[in-house]
Amino acid sequence: MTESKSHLWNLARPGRHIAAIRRTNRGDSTRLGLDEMVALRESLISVADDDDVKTVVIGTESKHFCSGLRISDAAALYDEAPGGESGKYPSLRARLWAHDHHFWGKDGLYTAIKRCPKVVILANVGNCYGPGLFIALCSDIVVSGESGHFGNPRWHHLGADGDMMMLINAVGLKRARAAALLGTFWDAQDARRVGLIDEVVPDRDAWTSGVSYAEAISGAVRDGLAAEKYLSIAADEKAQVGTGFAIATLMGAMASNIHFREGEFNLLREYQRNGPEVAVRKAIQHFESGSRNRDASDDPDRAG
Amino acid sequence: MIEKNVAGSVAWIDIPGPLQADGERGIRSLTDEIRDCMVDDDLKAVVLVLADSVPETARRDTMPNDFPPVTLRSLAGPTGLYEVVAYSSKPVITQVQGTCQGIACLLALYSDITVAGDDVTFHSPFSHVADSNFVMASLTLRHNRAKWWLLSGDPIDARTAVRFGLVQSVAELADLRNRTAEIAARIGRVPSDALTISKMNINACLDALGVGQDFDTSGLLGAAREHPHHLASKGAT
Repeated sequence: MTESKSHLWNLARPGRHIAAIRRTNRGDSTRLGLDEMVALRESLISVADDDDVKTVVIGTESKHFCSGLRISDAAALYDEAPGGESGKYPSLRARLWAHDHHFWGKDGLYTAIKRCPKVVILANVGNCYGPGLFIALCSDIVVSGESGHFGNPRWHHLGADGDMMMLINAVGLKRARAAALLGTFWDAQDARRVGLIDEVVPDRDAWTSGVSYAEAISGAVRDGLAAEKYLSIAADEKAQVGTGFAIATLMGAMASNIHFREGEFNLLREYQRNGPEVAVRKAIQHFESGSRNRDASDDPDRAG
Repeated sequence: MIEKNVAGSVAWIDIPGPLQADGERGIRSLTDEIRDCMVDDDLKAVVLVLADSVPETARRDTMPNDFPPVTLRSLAGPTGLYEVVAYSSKPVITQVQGTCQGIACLLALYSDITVAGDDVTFHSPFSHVADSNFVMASLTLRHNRAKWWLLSGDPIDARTAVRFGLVQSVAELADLRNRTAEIAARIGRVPSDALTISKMNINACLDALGVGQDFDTSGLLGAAREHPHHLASKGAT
């Protein structure tokens, strides 16, 4: 893997055996786009093929690692899928293909992370929502800055359309249920306490801590690391993570065809009519009204 | 014995006394009520309000004399109470307080969300209920803690229950019902299709993780314990 800098990710080699993949700082734009997910996957494949690399650190130059999937891409997801261009609503086969291809299938980003033969370390700061949460779950080690905030806001509006298996294995069944049904989030300390992440550090130290982990791990011989990684991949399969990914493909396709009843908050219609910012604000108001949860109105990414 | 009320899109089922007070009829009545809620398209969630338990057992041979018998099938069978709750198609919220043991403790374990009074103690169901689902306990508490609960029989208090992930919320007794209502209302604001997707996803994961198999296995254990041969030898040490 050679060092390079694009408008999406900076690829570097902070150590002989360490690869670093860091999201470039795009100011307030902290949602992850499909193009970035594809680029991240390609970088991971490049890392996997590099015999010199033992560990890879993923992180961001921004204040937040990932505030969710870029909203415009949630619809564009199906454009390139076979059958995706048919009429107003993508076909079911297009939906299934898109979720399999981009996320959960053999060519998906999360599979690339989970099955990477190198040790994958996520150094998170700020929001870690949606794709960020799945990247965290699929990574081997997660260190987060104190500002870390983990969850999946879209589940509250569209249902748990992603993998639940890894979340259940990580935090326990009831906490996973709460995330899906109540829209529970975890701050950095809570995330560590429940087993979602491994360490909490000051925000300014998150990236260097991730690299420090990589340095420590890189002291091990390659054959040993490879054996441990493939053992953990086998353990994932025993824990039915592959099944979870297959379920996620189906659920993702189904959730994209969600119907809203009268009186229910229709996030998709609000987005189409009034744009993402208004839709997100209204979503927060709808779900936080009457709730004792902290006021999320100052965090527009909380709605999904 | 049970009393059902509907508030908005949430059904509240109050069970004021021990779950086995009405024996087989009571258990089947509760199961049928829950099942009916699952096919009511106007409902989004079910709340089971469980009273402070009295010492409960699920086996006929050790039943207090004033409790009518309850069959294994009505509790642990494929259409029994446990699986109707564990595999519910809509979220089930259990509200518990005081001593929570036996069947009540299992319902709390199998339900989606549990809201507990701050006086609650969860007594290990494995001590008395042979058909308890250990896989559910392991997935919820994590394996080592579940084994500890199984083997030690030590109760879990409210604070520990939160730490262990057995409950999602604890409230002072005076505020318990309000807290449960808040959580139920929050679920009520989620679109119906979204809840269905979430529950289908979770239930499929439970199946893959062996929860169904453990219901079958634990059912066999329960049946073996009820076998006359076992009853005859139960005095042996």
